[in-house]
This record gives sequence, C-alpha cells and structure tokens, in this order.
Amino acid sequence: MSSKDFLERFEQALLVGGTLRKEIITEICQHTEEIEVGKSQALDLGDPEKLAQKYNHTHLGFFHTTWRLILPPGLLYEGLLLFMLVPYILGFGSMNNNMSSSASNTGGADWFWPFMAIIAILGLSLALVYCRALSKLYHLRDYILVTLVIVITLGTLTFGGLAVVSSSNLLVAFMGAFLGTIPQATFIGLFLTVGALFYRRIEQKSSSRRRSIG
Amino acid sequence: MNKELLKGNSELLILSLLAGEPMHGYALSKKLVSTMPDMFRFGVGMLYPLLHKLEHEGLITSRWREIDNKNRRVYEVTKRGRRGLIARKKDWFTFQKTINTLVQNATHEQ
Repeated sequence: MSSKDFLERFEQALLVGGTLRKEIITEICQHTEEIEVGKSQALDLGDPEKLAQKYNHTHLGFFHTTWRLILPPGLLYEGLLLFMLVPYILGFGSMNNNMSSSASNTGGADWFWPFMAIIAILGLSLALVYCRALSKLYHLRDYILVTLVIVITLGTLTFGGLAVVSSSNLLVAFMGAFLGTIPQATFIGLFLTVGALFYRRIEQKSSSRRRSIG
Repeated sequence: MNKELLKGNSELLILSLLAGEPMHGYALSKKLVSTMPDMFRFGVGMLYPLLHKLEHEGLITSRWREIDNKNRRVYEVTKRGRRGLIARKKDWFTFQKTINTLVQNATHEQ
C-alpha cells in the first residue's frame, strides 16, 4: 500500500476533529514520509483503519463509534421524559391535566425533589460529557444535525404518545405534542451546540499554547 | 513471543525510553527497532496512539519543535510520569522476581 493510500484510508476512519486531527495527521504523515525515504519495512504502521480506531478510542473514549454518539441525546431525552412521567405513574398527577403541572401535583411527596435533583444532575453531566465528545469530532456540524434530528424524533414520539393518552382529540394531541417538543428539542440542541463549540475553543487554545511553547 | 506480554508492559517501555531523552514519534520508533530484538518488536501502529494515551493521562507531554527543518511533535516525561515510571518499574521487578522463582523451582522439581 502506498503512503498516499494509507493516509486516505486513515483520514476516512479517523473521527477525531479540530486541531487535534491536524496534529495527528501531520505526525502520521511525517512518519510515512520517513518510511518512504528510509525504505524501512520495520517501521510499517500496519492497518490504517485499526490505527485510526485506536486514536478514536483514545480521544473520544466511550463515543468512539457513531452509534454510541447517537445514544446520549436519546438517553438525555428519556431522562427528561422520566422526569415528567414518574409523577403520573405514581398517581400524583392526572393525565388529563397539562403535563407541565405534574411537578406541582406531586404535593409534599418526600422523594420528589431528591429525584428531580438526581435526574437534573445526571442529565447535565451527560450533556457536558457529550458536548466534549462532540467538540472533538471532525464533522462537528453533521453530528449536531444528527443530535437535533434524534432529539426531535424522540421528543415527537414520546410527547406524541403522552398527548394521545391524555387527550380525546387526536388532532389537538398531535399539535400539542409537536408544539411542546420544538422548544425543548431546540433548547437541548442549542445547549449541545454551544457546549461543543466552547470545548472546541478551549482545545484550540491549549493546542496553540503547546505550539508556541515549542 | 507472546504479544500480550509486550502489550501489558508497553507503557513501561515507552516511559523508560522517554525518561532518557525527549524524542519525537519517529525517533522513538527507530530507537525501539534498533534496540529490541525482532521477537520483542513493538508494533509502531500501536506506538502513536499509546503516546497520545500517555499524554491524555498526564504521564508525558508534547511540544512542537523544529528539528531538521521539520516541525516535530516531541514527547517528554512529566513529573507525574516519572512517579508512574518508578511505580511501574517496582511492579515489573516484583513480577519478574516472582516469576523467576516459580519457574526455577519448577525446573528443579523436574
């Protein structure tokens, strides 16, 4: 395999983005150039896909494959759904009432606020971890788009289901579900986007500092 | 030679080499090839992600420097890395001593 082919396959399989990606590719490119000059078989880098996967695993951790990347927005949204559903399931609210009033319907239940706090902390932690993973991706905008699509789809399905159960009029139920989902999905999408861009900015700064020290 | 054995001690190997002198990836790979016999040869494909992993863990640090008119990423061991190296060396010598004793005893019994 020529070094050009090697680099092409390597770049395709590498999910890591930003300045980190440039640094990795520069380093590997230099190595392949040296091999070509020195004609040393002993310094062969092996399989480009496997090499890229190792980098993905090192820098993206849990989110080193695309399907794992799709998982967190789903979990995040399911967490929010749980936050709204549990009070109903346990009989503290009425399905005919507006969903947003569920918290107030729980009255003085001892478990409610600790439960809400746990859900909020888990949701926020998950969102921050996900933002960081997103910020390290090569096709950042693509993944944000994927995130938004998943959040909107999940939101429409779950809220649609809830609205159908709680209303006798299907049209009203779907309109309610649709209108209820958009602001929440937009909020989560924006939060993830801003968070990812923030983390990417930090990464760029630390990378330029590393270069200037050298 | 069992590759898993080498894999398990690859961090010790890299930290030991970098503790001697800071090096860029290619120089490190050449050093590995020249100092180690064929059967112990360390896969270079494993080397770069491992360097990044060690940097991620704060055991080594990297800086871009111009060497031979090329901008190279040079790696060096941090203070934390030196402490990690001492701990890993200690583990290695304990492991080596234990295995040696066991293997020698088994040889005598035969």
